[in-house]
Amino acid sequence: MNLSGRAYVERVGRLFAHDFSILLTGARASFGWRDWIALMLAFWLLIAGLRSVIIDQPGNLVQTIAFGVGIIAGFAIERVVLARLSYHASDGMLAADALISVRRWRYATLFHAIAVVCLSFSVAMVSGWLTFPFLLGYFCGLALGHGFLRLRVQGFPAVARITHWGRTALAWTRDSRAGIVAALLVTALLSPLAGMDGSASLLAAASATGIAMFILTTVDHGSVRFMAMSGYGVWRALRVQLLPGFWFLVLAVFLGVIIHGPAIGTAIAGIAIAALGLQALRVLAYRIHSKRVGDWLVASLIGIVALVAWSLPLVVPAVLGVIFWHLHGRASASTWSIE
Amino acid sequence: MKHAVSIERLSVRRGSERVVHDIHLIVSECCWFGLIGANGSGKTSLLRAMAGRLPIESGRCVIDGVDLSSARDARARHFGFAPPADRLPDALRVDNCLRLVGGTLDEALAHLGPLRQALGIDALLCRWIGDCSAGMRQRVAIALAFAEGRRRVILDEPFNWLDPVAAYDVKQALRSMVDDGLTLLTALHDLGTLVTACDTGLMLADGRVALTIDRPMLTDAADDPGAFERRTINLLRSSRG
Repeated sequence: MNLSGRAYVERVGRLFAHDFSILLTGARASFGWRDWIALMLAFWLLIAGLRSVIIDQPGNLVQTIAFGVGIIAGFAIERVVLARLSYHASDGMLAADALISVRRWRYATLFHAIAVVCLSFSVAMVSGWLTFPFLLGYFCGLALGHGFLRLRVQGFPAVARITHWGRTALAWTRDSRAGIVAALLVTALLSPLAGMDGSASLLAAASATGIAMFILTTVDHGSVRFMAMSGYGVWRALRVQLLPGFWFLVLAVFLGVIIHGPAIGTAIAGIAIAALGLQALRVLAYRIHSKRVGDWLVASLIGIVALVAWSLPLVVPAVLGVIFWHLHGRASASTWSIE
Repeated sequence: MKHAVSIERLSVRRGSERVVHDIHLIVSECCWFGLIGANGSGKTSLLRAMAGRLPIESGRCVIDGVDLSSARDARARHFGFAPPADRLPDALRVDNCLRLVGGTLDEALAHLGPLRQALGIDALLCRWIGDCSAGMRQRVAIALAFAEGRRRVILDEPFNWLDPVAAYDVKQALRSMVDDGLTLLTALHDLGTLVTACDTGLMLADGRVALTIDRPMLTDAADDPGAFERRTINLLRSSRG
C-alpha cells in the first residue's frame, strides 16, 4: 500500500494519513527486529500472566475490572485523538481539515476503530467473555473523555486562569526547597499521631508521604528534553529532577525515625524511594521518547514489574536492574554533544 | 482597488488574556501587507486568527466580501498558512508533507512557482524533517503555505533562520508572485524588508494599532530609511512606557 498515494489519502483522509505515516515511521525508527521479538514475547507473557491471574478470581470481579480497564482505555485514546486534532487545527499543516467536523469525525472514527480491534483482540486472548464488558467500558470512557476533554481543549478563561496558577505552583514544587518544606509539613501533620495505634499512624504516614511525593516528583517533559539537547548527561539530569524528592526523603525519614520511631521512618522511606524510582524511570523515558510514548512505556514497564512481583517476587530486583540499565544506555545516547 | 481582507474591531483572546484589541485593517488584492511590532504585541495571534488557527472573540473578518468571523474552517480554507517550523513532524519526509498538502508532489511543486528555486526545495525533498536544520525547516514551512495553490498566503516572520542569500532570494520570489496576483500577509521584525518589499502595513503595540502604514509613507521611508526607523522605534518605545 502506498501510504502517500492520492487514492489512499482520499480514502482515509489527510489527517489520518498524516498521523498514520508518523506512527509507522516512529515504530520503524524506534524498534529493530530484536525489539519486535522482545515486545511480542512480553505481550505473550502478559497475556499468559493475566490468564493465570484471573482463573481463580470471581467472575463479577474480573468483569468489573475489564469494564474499568475499558473506561481508562477509551478515555486515554479519546484524549490522544482530541490532542492530535487540537494540534492539527492550531499548528499543523492541515488545519482546514481539522476544523471541518465531517473530517474530524472520519479521523476520530478510524483511530478508535483500530484501537477497538487491537484492544478487543488482546482482551479476547485473555478471556473471550471479558470482551463485552471491556467494550462497554471503552465506549463509556470515550463518551466521558469526549465530553470532559473537549471542554478543556476548547478552553475557558476561568480554566486557563486556574491552569496558569497551577503551573506556577507546579514550577515551585520542582525547586529543592519544596522537598524540605514538604518534609517539615508532613512531620508537623504527623506529630499529633505520636503514640497512636500502630496501623493507623502507619496509614497516615503512608498517605501523607504519598501525596507529598506525588506533588514533588512531577516531571516536565519539555525541561527533560531541553536538558538532553543542552548537553546535560543522564546523571546530571536525574540529579536536577530528583532533588526535591531526595531532600524530602532524607529529612522526612530522619524526622520520622526520631519522632515516631523506625516503623514510620521505614514506611516513609519505602514510599519515597518507590516514587523516586518511578520519577527516574519517567526522566529516562522522556529523554528517549515523546511524552505520550514515554508515559505508555513507563506504564507498560510498571505492568511487567507488577506481574513479575505477583508471580516471582525474588526476580523483581533483577528485572528493575535490567530496565534501568537498558533505559540508561538509550537515554545516554540522546545527550547532545560536540564530537 | 478591491479588498481581499477587511477587518473591523477584531479582538482575539488567548486563554484568559485578550491579546488583540479592536483592530481595524484593510488588505488590498495583489498586495504585500507587512505587520510589525514588538515581541508579544499580538502579530502572531492576529495572523493566526485570520487564518482560522485561533477563534475570533469579537469583530468582523470579511474575506472576499463575506464575513467569516464565526467560520474558522472557511478562514483556514481561504489562506495558505506556514505552520510553525518547530512544530513540523520529525517523522515525515519533506516530499510526504508536500504530497499531503498539495495532493501530488508535482502539483505541490508547481504551486511554488519561483519559490521552488529560491527555497532550494528540490534538495530537501528526500530529507526527514527531523534531520533538517532550523533554516531548512523554515524553508519547508514556507513551501507548505504555497503547496495548495492558494492566492492568499499568511507567513509569520518568514525570514527567520534563513541565511542572507536565501532570505534575499525568497523576498525577490515573493515580490514577483505578489506582482503576479498573490495577496501576501507577513509578520516582520525587519523594518528594511517592510520598506523595500511591502506595499502597505500596520504597526501593533500591546495588541492595538499603533501606526497604519500606507504606500506614500513607505515611499518616503525608502527615500529616508533612517528617519522612518527612528520614528517607528520611538513609537515602539513609547508604547512600552
